[in-house]
Amino acid sequence: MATSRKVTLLSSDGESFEVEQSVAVESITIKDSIEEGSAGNPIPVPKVNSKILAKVIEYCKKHVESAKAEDRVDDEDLVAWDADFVKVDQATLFDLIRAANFLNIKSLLDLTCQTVADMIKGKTPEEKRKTFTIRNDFTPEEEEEVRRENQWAFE
Amino acid sequence: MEKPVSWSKLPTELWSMIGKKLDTHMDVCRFRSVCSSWRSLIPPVSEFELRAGGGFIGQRTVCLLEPPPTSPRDSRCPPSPREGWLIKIAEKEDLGGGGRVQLFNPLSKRPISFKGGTFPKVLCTMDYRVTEICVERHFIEEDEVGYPGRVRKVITLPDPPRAVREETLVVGIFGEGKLTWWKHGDEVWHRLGDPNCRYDDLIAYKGQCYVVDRFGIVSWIDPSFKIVQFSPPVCGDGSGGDRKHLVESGGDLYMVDRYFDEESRFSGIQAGDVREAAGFKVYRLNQEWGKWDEIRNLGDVALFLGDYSCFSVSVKGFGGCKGNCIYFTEINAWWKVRVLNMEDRSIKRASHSPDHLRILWPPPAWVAPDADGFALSPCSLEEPVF
Repeated sequence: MATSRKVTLLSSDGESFEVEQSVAVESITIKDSIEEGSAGNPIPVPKVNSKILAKVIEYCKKHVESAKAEDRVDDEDLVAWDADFVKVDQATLFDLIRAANFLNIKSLLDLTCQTVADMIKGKTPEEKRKTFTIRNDFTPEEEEEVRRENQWAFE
Repeated sequence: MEKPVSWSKLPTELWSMIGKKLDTHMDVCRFRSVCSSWRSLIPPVSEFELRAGGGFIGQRTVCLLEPPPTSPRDSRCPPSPREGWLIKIAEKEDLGGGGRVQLFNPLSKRPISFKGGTFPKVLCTMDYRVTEICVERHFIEEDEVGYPGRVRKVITLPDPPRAVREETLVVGIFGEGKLTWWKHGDEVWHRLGDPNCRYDDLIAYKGQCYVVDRFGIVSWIDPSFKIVQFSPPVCGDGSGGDRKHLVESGGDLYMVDRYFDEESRFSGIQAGDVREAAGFKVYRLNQEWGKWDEIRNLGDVALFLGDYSCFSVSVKGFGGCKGNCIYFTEINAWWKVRVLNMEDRSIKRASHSPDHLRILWPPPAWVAPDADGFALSPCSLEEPVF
């Protein structure tokens, strides 16, 4: 298969993105549909708008390029690049996670999940509920269990 | 203003993936304390008793407690200075659980107790931000069989030990610097490394065991239990210090070289004698070039060199608590907690340096509001009362 083959991706809001096939297939979802021959041209990407699709493409491009380089130093550069890549507002992060999940891009999913995990670390359960708009829905029995698990009783 | 995000719309399998990225006991426990659905996604951390020849491996956890932010942040106001209390706790293996814990001096095994009524009997940790800084392991002797001698320091691999006890390896330094390891099912500890070499410290770093010898050569232990050199000696000309410590900070591996004072360097000194520190040098391993870079300023970081663990804490934004320092206990005098100020290289007792003592003692008002009139039992960070 010619590596310079290009494909066109169509975001949910109708914008087209032309990318190298090697970049597009970072997404297992897209790879599968190309291989099955069921992908049209352009390949529609429902649920992912142009802003997020552009970012996802940027991520995949960078990772495909880095995989070609042999130098170990680039590994650390990539880690730093990834760290910058996820310095985004919550709404974008949320959309990126969902896009990475839908498009089945494992490394991006790992990265975005780790980013959310890092946001959680150390915070109180109440802070977590506020940050992610989550309701405390424990039954009184569960509440009691939770309280006991989080309690330090000193000698 | 940021559009509110409907995180609740995130499918539960993604919350499960996120939860699985949490790697400390405390974070897992708190994730499970948010709501019913998160609770069901991640099982509780399973602890198991880890036995090693002649005894078993206990653990104590160093945590940083902070009050949660109280009011909604107004971005026009400067953020209020952070506060924190660094503590070390160990769970008591009592009947019925209930989370009974003992507080310790973060740098040693010295327990801290309070006279009745001056410290809360129960703390609900959900009221505070709690960051687990490190889990230290220690060896508890039990019987003679397989006992390797006085174990100075141990680590487990993987760290933290996962659910499978059979896969856990224990590596330790015992006596005056001999390296040993033990695996589940073994009867005795096995010697490791060069028998003529004195090993000063070991650390679990990026999933591997790294050790440092008296010359500052760092090696790692490969899967076939061979010692593989990883760095050059810290001072090629023999001008290095007397005791090396390994500590991780910001993802990098550091070595702190301790210099004993003149009296402590005399060869007549016995193994158990106190050796006071006169100075320290800090180096960071430059892994790209395979060499040590001397670090003269730690910025917002404080290093802690304890008897059973070495760790780093960022004090960025902490009101009145300075970084760029090293807290340590004197060799063979674990009750003497000192602080080296990297700016002027002065060494003081922690209790004589309020800017440095603040993070350790006394317990802050947001933990123990009745602290006034609290009388400490003899076990405090100051010199013992008796």
